[in-house]
Amino acid sequence: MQGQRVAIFDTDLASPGIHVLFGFTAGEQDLLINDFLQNGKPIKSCVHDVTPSPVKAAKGRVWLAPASMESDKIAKILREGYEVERLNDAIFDLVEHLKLDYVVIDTHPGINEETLLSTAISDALVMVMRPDSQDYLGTAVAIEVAERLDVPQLHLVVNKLPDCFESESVKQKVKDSFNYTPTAILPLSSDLLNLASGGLAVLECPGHEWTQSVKDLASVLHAQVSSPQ
Amino acid sequence: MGLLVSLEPHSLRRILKAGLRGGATSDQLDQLFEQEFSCASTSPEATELLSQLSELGWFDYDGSIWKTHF
Repeated sequence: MQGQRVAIFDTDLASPGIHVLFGFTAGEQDLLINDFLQNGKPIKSCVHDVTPSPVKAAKGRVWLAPASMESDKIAKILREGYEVERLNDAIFDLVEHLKLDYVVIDTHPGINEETLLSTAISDALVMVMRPDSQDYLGTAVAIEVAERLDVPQLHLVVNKLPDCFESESVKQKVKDSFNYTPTAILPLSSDLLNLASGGLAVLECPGHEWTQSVKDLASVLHAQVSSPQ
Repeated sequence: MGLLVSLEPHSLRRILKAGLRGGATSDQLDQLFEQEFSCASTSPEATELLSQLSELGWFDYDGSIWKTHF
């Protein structure tokens, strides 16, 4: 919404879902990340302009590199694998080709080749966790990996905080657990549950507390990535 | 990529990480060797390390850029 050119890579090849948020359904002729990784198609043919109207009005652009939802293609890529460095090359080729300001890489929750690559090449890593014992354990592992890979900026985001949880207590608990203060704490919201990934919440619920928290997070990321320390 | 995470020492991970993204120029590699090993990338020790990394197929020079391969 600030006139920037952004590409989003859905690297969760096992369970892709970013396309749902943008209402993108791949046609038979549409090429996807899988076609780049396994069939030698150029990456610029595998990205799709999904710019929402309000973003277009603000002179921004959003492209999506979606992954396949077809079970046979998912099984194929998981079975056969691919050279993960090709994903690295694709991202930086696309930065030049589309003159991108930002690339957002969405990964599978957990540690795999794609998350490790994303961690290694990122200027900023946003780790989203729930205030849940399982996520505390998983996040600890992910932080250790990020620190070993010298991620320049690491941001913890606590998501889906029920309103019976005290925000300040959770912030302190996260800080005590990981030595990082959460950059954002996002509330569990029935409005978002009702939206059910039927659109982009920041556009569908512009005045919502959740939206403001996400915008604040975006501002922090923009400021820090624009002026690296 | 799991290999990169597990490598020791930290300096070696930094060298290999530099070969990701768009790769590392010779100048950038020089700076890194100075910071991490207090030697030039053309020193005998650095040349030996780069040669071994190249033999492993992990890190090589394509004529303009040093790139990491895993």
